[in-house]
Amino acid sequence: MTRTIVIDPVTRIEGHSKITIQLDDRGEVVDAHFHVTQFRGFERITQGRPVHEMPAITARTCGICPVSHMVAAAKAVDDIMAVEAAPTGADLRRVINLAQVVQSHALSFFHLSSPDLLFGFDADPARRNIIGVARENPGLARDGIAIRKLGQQIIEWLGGKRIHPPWIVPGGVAEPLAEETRDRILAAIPEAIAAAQRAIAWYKSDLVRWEEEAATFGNFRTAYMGLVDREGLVDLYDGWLRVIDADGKPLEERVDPRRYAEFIGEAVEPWTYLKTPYWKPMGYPDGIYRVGPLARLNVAERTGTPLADEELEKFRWRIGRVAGSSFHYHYARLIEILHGLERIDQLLRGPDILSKHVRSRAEVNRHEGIGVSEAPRGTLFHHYRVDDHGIVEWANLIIATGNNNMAMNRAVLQVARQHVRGDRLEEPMLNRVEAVIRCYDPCLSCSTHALGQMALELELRAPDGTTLDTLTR
Amino acid sequence: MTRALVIGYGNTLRSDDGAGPEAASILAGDPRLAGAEVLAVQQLVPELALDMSRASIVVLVDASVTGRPGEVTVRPVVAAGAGEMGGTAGMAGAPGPSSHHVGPAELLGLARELYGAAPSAFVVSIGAADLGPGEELSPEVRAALPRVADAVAGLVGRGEDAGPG
Amino acid sequence: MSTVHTLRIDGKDVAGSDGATILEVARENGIDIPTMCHLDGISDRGACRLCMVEIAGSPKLAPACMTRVAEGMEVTAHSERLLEYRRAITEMLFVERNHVCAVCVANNHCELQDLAEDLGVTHFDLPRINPKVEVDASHPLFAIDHNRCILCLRCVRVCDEIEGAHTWDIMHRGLDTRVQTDMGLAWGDSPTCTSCGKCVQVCPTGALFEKGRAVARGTRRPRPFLPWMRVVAEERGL
Repeated sequence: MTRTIVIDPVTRIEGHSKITIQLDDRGEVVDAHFHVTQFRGFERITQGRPVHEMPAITARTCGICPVSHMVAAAKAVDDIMAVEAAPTGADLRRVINLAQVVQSHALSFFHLSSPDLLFGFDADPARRNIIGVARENPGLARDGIAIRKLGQQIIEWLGGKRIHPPWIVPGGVAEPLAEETRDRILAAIPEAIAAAQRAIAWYKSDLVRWEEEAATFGNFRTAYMGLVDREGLVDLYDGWLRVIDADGKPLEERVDPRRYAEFIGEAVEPWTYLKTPYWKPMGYPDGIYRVGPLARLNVAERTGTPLADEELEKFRWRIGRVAGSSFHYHYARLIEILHGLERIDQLLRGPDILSKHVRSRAEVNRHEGIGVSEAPRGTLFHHYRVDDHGIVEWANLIIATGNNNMAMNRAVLQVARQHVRGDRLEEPMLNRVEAVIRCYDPCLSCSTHALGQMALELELRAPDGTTLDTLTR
Repeated sequence: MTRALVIGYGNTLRSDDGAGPEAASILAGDPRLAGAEVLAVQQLVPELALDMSRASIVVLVDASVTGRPGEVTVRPVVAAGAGEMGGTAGMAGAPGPSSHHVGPAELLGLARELYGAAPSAFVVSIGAADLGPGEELSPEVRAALPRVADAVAGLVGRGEDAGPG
Repeated sequence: MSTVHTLRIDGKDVAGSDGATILEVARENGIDIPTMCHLDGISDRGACRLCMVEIAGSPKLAPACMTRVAEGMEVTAHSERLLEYRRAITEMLFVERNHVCAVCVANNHCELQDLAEDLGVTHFDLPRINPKVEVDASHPLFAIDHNRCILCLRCVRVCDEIEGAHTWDIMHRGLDTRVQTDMGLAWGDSPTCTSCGKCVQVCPTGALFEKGRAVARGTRRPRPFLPWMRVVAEERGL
């Protein structure tokens, strides 16, 4: 008799989800599914709208990383207009995109994951939370707050609004950067860099505790995808898709992201609203790949900024050239925070950053446009088709979390196999299933467009589909 | 001079849950609160502890499922310690604060733990009638907004009389 | 030689020359009456009904923009009843089409949005109709999104009376009423449109907009509005 365990809802992630764990006759875990149970349908509701509205409309998919959607959407419209964004406009988009990555990673690491890391997965939840962190390691909590606040502030200072800034527009950005704003950001960067370095130092000293756990914590062979620049360095805004296999061998060295559909297939599973992209040359479901901070550091040669590169070297010395355990998403996130802050500093010191020419203008010159950028959680694809007059006829979005769908399922299965015992749901297993999902920092409101508070349901199922046990958080 | 911080929070796409932000937008123009910082946010996030730590009095305005629709209640916030989490966190039955949603007591606890600040803090709650999807407040909650403004202004005014401390 | 009438609006003694409307005299005297279809410089239509006022001795309400002042008139421009009507009208303007401020080119500089704010329209009691309506983006410079049209017909009048092209008109009736270009041709195919952009300039909402404008990045129009139009209109004796 097969039996299933369901975890429903998953806490400390964005959106709402449910996990079922299927047992076989001997009570062994045979399958695990991470279900995304809500649907919003942005690809449909944007049909019929003028394409220039796409950055603002698609930003509404998510209150956590609207900036990422605006960037990818604006790039897709640049493509439809067949123009390059004004160079300073493109650099300013880079800055706001980096600020988005910094603040989102800070939220994920400090607010959501640091309680587990500080106290252990099996610690009492009454202590294993942000207040507990504040009491146990106030410096760490203060650093997290300071980094996230700066990321948010940069977005607000540049965009005029923290959540859905109408500043990123097709062709570039709407307003040039004011000198005071630049100076204000530059003045705040050194302290944030110091905070990121302290967090990395703490994490490294703590990592040894987790080496055993990491071995079975979403540790499996997959391909990795991320954008890199001309020299193969991390590029969060533009560049080429590089895809490597589990050994680091390039599957594709440099693909124009406009050709994504030749390489990425989209499977649909009946048990989730989250689509399941896969690497087409390897087929479904073998074409499993990962995106996000870990994948980006795996595919890139270096980050391209000095302090982050030093840390990346230590990361690789410790873990290997290609990090396979999902546990290391945390470490990668910290390195990316450091990189993001350094890169913002570099960009703002550019000689033309205060240029008044920040926007290219053109009409609709193509019927199809693709915009690809790196969101905090991974590669984000926006693809639109428009009619002669620029009205959207069709849209396809592949969201970062969607790319990680298969990997998240695989990770849950691995953790369940390691920790499910018998036909009951127990805390250590629940804690780890949640934690392994949190490594991917899934943003479900975005990838399926769920509305409301995140939650997790866990269900244990028998072979005949009957529910043996459920847990709800 | 007392520094007052007023935070109205809630989801404006969830009908009466938007009462907090709506109250904040009204309070931002209230002459009785001239000089106070007024924020409207979707949910309480840890960063707000930093803002709270710089204030001498903090008033949080929120919709509540417990009161009668339109009922306005004021209660003081007691800072949470690590062992007392959960009671005021966002999710019913949650063992701790959910993702980045923390409750008033946790925020005050963070302000204390991280920044050594102990502002006096109050929650003004408005009993909600409807929390379904929608951008409009129910008539009961809308009618309660002037009383909310009076309550907030009263708390802030009282703080001023008492002087900083 | 024009006669001057004395009358009272909201209890205030005012004077207006023969032929002046209640709206004109009220505004000259600092009494604000909300309007939507009215625009200085083009003819009045009395279409939106927001400027309805009470006149003592008349059982009916009268549109201030269309009613001439008369000697001894006693006008009430503001009352609880009128406010209630004006709110209801505003609400109806919203529910008749699909107004989504957050992703609208006119967000934060929209006359309909301002009106709702001024009148304290904070929610809708009427059910939304959510009609399925089109966007015509066939013109090279401009587009019309019927989702945001309130049928004030300013575009129709400015095109006819000032530009002299009469590209715009209306078609169908009731809820199906639409402004149209050249008997229903796509705007881009219009042989009469001069691409002057006056219709876009006078549109109170984001219905008519310059193509390529991002959300909330529509032109911020100065008030008072297009003063030159009044001069042209006066020359033509409108």
